[in-house]
Amino acid sequence: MIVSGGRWEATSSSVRGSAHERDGRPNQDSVRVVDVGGSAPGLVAAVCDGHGGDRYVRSDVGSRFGTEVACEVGRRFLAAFGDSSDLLELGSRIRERVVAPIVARWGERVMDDVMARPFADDERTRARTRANLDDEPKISYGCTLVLAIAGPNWVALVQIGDGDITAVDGSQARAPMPVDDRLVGGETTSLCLPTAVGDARIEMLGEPLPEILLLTSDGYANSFASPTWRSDIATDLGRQLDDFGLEHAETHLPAWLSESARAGGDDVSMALIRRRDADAAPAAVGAAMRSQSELLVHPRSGASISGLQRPHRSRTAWLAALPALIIGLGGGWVLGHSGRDVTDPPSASTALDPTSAPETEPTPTTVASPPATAPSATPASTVPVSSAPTATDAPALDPSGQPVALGGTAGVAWVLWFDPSVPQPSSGEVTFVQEVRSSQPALPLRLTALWRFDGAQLCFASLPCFPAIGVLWPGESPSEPDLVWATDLRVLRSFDPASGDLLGCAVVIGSTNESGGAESDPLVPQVTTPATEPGGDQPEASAPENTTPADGGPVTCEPVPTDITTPALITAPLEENG
Amino acid sequence: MTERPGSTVAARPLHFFIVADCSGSMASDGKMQALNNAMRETIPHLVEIASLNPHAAVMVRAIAFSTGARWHIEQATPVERLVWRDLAPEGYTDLGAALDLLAPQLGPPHMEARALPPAILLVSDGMPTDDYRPALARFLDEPMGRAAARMAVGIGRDADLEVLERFVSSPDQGVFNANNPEQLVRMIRWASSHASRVASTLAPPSRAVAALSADDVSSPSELIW
Repeated sequence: MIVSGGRWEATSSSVRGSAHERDGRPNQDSVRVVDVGGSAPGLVAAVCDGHGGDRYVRSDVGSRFGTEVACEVGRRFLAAFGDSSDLLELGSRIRERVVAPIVARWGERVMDDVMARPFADDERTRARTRANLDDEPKISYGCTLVLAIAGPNWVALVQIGDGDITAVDGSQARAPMPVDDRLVGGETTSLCLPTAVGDARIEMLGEPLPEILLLTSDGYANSFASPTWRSDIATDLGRQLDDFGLEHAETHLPAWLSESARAGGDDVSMALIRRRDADAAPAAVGAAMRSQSELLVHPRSGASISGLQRPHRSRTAWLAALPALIIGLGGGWVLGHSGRDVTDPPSASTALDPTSAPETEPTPTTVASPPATAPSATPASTVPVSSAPTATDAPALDPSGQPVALGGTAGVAWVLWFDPSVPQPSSGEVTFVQEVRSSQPALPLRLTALWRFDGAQLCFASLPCFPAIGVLWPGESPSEPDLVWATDLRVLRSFDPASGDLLGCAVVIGSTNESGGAESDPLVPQVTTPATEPGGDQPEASAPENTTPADGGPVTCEPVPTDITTPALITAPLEENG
Repeated sequence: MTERPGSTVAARPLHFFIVADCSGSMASDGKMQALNNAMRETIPHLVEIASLNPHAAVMVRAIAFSTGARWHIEQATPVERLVWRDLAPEGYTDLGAALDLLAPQLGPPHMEARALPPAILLVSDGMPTDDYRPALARFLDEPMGRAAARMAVGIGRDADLEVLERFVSSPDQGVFNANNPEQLVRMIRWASSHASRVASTLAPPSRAVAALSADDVSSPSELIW
């Protein structure tokens, strides 16, 4: 079947591997392509590869869930942002608006399936593990994800785990995704891991868009004797599509993939996406996009900005009970070593390269371990300035009724706190309050998300994880300069996203959930007079005494005045410094 | 034109490494000859396994360790073309040297990116005479070292089974102790076959290794090591 949407058309196929045929395993791959209509038509394509080990007794089901959820989320993203041409802005939204919802909804599908179909005795036997499958059901459904959201003038690429994305222009082929050098020896990251959102690699492609995009499970690449398989494919496939069209590929794709599945033994899947207007002249916006991305990913201050745009590879200290990587030899190798087969002139793309790091960011420890082996703890690398409190200085957070985050753009303050009406020992409802800018009446918008603390991280079901010592919250207004805010609940700091300069700071004083007065909300922190950064200028007003208990107990919060919606309290230190 | 785009497709390489103790103690009681005989008898079984898993191209390499370590079969040899050349005993038991010779072979350029995790069989009759632990750590630091299907056979009562357990993939089921030549033949054959079979299944080594049969273990023999 050929799917058409806007400038794109695609076909797909999936074939069970010969090794799986011999040992009676199902095809653990899944592939799906959907079209998106509306004002910004396009396509969404996804390939998922279920892990092949004994433990992953339902990975074929998991991979099907993966492609269904990914296409659904991708379709919504394209419908919402297809008209945008700001690659940088779009790229900054992908992890929050695409990856996190996919991971969350995939998890929900898994849990629903387990509820409806509890693990059977034969599955428990096949799993060959002493662990109870019910303790971590998602692992049994584990799979990788390769996703493309193809819009009118951009393509968003997302990848969790092994598999490949190949971009073809003429006779040239390239691998646009950043390399994840952890993916060797059959080990892969996965949708089933708690680090899935942070593990995702993201790449935005702008004009000129590739003529052909191939999304493949790793069984395809592993079937070729030559490491230069991409360039070989580019030459042959491009010619066939030019001469015979996509219908020809649709007809013969199953047979082509069957050869690979027979030779290499693994399941093989491909989504073949072709740009219908391959002869059209592209818009030349690449250079500007690239320079902006370089600024954004290499701030002088380090992780506070780039941390939003790179996999949270360092934030794995809380995985003591789970493997950071899964051996998923339903695929096997990725091209971590061979990298890009053909060097192309750089196209307009926003490189969100997890392997690059700003100079000031500590290099996270690579964690790669087989199942049932605890990975080594890695340090959090989220301290935005060298003088900021470190993770060891951060106060213990009380999840029962404690503000945990402040943020916003210039003129908009966001406060995030827990809803004590849903107290749970390890999870609960997180209430977000989004204060609209001061020129409008305050319209607190309460959103909820399941949360949990894991060591030094605050994790949400539908958002990226945040280190508990700091919250990164870029503004959402593309029309004005965004500020980046970070807090450890004692000091709130703001940064210039372009330069990484510290713009201002203020002491945060809060209270516990014991009410301080009927008219006041005890959960909203108060931002008061600015504090003095070590080495900085002394403000005119003396900083209030920090109410953090000496023993490192919960930060107390006092009621906040309603004029927190005005920028004055938060931005006053900015004006002094600005 | 229906020709498949792209270049040649082929079975994935599966490197099978034999790491054999050739120390002086292997000369006593015919242990070295028994090991050589066992390898010759194992090759047809490896060929059979390869034929049952056509997606895996089994390639054999061998390291001999005594005083230091050296290649016995350096070039990866298709199992169908393998002719076993006898190992000869002399010297100490430098297991660390063997692991340091092996570890670099588990990554590029020696091991293809598309290769299946290797199968490795370690055979020894005694305690290592060098400081093998750092070398073992380096070996297990290699992703393909960790992913490999690792089995071990200890020969005789002086074999250090604890050391072998540190090497194998599944400590409670991956170490065998052969006490006579007949047992050695069966165990080498079984361990080699199993390691190759597991490595070729596109799945990580199972923690629950199927046990040897009673016949494989209790082989009557006049010679006891």
